[in-house]
Amino acid sequence: MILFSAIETEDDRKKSERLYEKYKNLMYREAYKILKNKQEAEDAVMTAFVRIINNLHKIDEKNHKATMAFLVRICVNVAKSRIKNISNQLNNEESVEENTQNTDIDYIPHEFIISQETNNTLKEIICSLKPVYQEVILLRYYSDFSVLEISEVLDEKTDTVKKRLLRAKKIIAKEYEKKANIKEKAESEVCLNGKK
Amino acid sequence: MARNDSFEKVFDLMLKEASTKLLEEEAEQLLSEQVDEHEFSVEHKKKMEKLFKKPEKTFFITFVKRHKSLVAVFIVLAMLACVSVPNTKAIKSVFMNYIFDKNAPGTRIIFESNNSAHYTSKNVNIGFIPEGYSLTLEKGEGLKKFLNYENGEKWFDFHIKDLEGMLTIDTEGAIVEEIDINGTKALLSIKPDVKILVWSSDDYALVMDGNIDKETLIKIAKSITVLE
Repeated sequence: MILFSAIETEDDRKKSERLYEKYKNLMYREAYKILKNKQEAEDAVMTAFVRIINNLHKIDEKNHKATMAFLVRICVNVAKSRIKNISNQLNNEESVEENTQNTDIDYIPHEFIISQETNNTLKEIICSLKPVYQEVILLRYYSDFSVLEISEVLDEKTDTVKKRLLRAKKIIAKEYEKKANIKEKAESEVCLNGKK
Repeated sequence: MARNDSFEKVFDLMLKEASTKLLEEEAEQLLSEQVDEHEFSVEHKKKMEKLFKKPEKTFFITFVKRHKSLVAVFIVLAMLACVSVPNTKAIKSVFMNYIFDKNAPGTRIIFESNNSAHYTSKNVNIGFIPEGYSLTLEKGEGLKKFLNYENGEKWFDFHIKDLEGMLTIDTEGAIVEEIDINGTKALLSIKPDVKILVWSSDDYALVMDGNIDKETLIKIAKSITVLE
């Protein structure tokens, strides 16, 4: 095994250890649920740290809850990769993605309102995405990882990550507009009924 | 277009907020279930210690630009492995100022360079690809390039890396040889299932690994050219 890692400072080392001590049991528990094997689950915890160690500076410890869930997600992703080769499953999906030409800016909704409600709607949509799309969205938007960094964490090609990100955003934009239209329609119906 | 740009930026910010909220809610769910203290295995603990080990000048190999007449200094990894395997005395092989601890799961190499060209783009050309092998994975760019070639069960990887950070290679129980790659000293670590070849230039390190035979691995390595 060859690992490229970059713990170069005492701060980085302390941070890695802190994160590990804080979340190792939870990460192990979630990995074990998938792998049902003690050693495999322990290896998944280690691999998760190997994958994030180059991007430690992007892990925000202030938001304890989000950091916890983020690390668990990376570990779960490792565990899932271990039990099945997801690449075969994704091949079909990605060939569809390759044919998706970005001819229009359809990865952002045509309009949206900045509100708590929109935030909740987006959260629900992200939650309903397939795991492969959820991962790239969370890595990109929660942790500000670059495409290259995401590719390192997920052990995927940068092109694949780019396509997934674009596809995920398209789905989100489409779903958001769908929900917004439904809401708008319902509101206008209420309004009309009120007039009657 | 400008409107779309700012529109997209706002949308991205909203996605960031929604992602954070989603993770916070997930954390609540994760914590709703009891988290038991797991007694991690000794092996796991050792691996994690090594992963989190902070480099110290006196304990790590330092690669410096050769034309500045600076020398590579070496690292030894933890002797923990020796303690845990009392029947096997640590056997260290010294090659090119490296020390490989045969009992340690990994050996780390720290690269340091004063070169300012770390992030310049490089084009890597592998002149010889054995018949039947095809590129199955390509990641990164410039001095963070990774290529994977496969032919059925046989495979080899190629990495190019700037001289910053460190490289951990699996040398546990390996036979380590010093070989020559186009006039440059290289280290070859041979294990039954994998061979690892490491060599460096003034501003980058090159690493190959794979389960192909030693001669083919060296032939491929010798055919590699890195262009500005």
